[in-house]
Amino acid sequence: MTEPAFFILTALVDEPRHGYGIVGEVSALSDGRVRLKVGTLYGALDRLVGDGLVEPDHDEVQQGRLRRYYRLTESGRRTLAAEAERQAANARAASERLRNWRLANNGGLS
Amino acid sequence: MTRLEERYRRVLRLLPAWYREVWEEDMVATYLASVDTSDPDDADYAADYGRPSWSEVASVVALAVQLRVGSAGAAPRSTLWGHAIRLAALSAMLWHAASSAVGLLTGLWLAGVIPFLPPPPMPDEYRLLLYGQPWETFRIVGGLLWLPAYLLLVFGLWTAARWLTSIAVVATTVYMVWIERWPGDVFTVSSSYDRLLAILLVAAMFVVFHRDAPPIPRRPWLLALPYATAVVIGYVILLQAAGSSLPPLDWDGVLSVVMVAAAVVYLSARRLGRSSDTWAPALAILAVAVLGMRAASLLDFALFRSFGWPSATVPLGIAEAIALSVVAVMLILLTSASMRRLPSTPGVRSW
Repeated sequence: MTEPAFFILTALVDEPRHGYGIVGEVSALSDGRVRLKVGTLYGALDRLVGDGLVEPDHDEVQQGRLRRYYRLTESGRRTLAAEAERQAANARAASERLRNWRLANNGGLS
Repeated sequence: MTRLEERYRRVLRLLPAWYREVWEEDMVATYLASVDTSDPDDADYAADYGRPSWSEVASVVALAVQLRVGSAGAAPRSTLWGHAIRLAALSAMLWHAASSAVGLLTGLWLAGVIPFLPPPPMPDEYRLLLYGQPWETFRIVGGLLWLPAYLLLVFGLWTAARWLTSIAVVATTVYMVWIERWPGDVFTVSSSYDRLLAILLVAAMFVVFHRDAPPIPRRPWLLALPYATAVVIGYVILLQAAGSSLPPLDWDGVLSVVMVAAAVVYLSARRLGRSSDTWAPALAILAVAVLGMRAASLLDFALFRSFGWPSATVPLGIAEAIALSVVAVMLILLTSASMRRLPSTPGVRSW
């Protein structure tokens, strides 16, 4: 799963959001590191909708413009949980190795 | 509609119509919300004079390319195009890899490291010219990297293959620009066209070998390498045997003959119902590329000099160009018929 797709799914966990809402939430989740461009967002959204991980929730009219909200599907929730677990396992393995290395090299002082 | 919205919608026209039908209004709303400011004066100014930033335009261009070369969610017609460009790029890489393998074998032979095959006598000044000059490093690196790049591509290590190919193209280009400075050397139509094809090949490597592309079947592409190498070695031996009087068939002639033969084999197999639609667009792309190569070298003969080839090379080259044109037209017609049969949209979305 790509990083934008991972953050888009994460942004939709708690509530349905529209496109700009997703952009803002992804930026907040990544501490401003991932700033989705519109082409990137809709490329990923189209793929996630096609894979059945995200679906449209409802439409709202705001200042004369139609805003479409998206929500996570059950399959999207399961896929995100599996990906989060995989990444957490990777991070645990790396942290464990680093901790062992520090202990072996300087008695865990750094 | 503000000028800014107009400009953004103009950028979105790069996307396929079916995609715009589903996503355009949403994309415009998101984009306009992202550039909205709380200051009314700034907002008015941006609405009248603002333009989508280069990074926004680049994201739309990247999406448009992905959708047209068959990434996930693309239309069947785009998927076929993506597959055809991959096959054409792989075939071009195969030819470069075969030439690279022959270059490697020749280098080893000249260095005297191949057992039971002593190196030919070579004057020291010639050896120095071939291997002793710093700029020759670019030629050697540029020539040899194609072989590992091809193998990496076939084994699925696409990122490494892309970067090796890019380095090979840059190294060869630096070498060509360097030697062009020598008195008597000219930047020919062929060499310019060759650089253009190399850049297109690198671009194709970055665009069509995406994460949704199916893996390359290793066995046939690995087996093809010794066959292609044998063709190049056969021709090199022919040149060696000819000595100072070169045969009429030049390098582009060899490539033209291989291309026409491949097209004839494909067209015959297709008549017998033993080939798929996928190769027609790939061979059409290759036939047009080789035809351009043949035409460029014929133009060089007319503009500059014969480069040591006999006068019979020109009529033979014209015959090759005619044969290439015929197969190219046939392949383009077949491609067009195959494409018309496929839907240009990926089907109905869920809303």
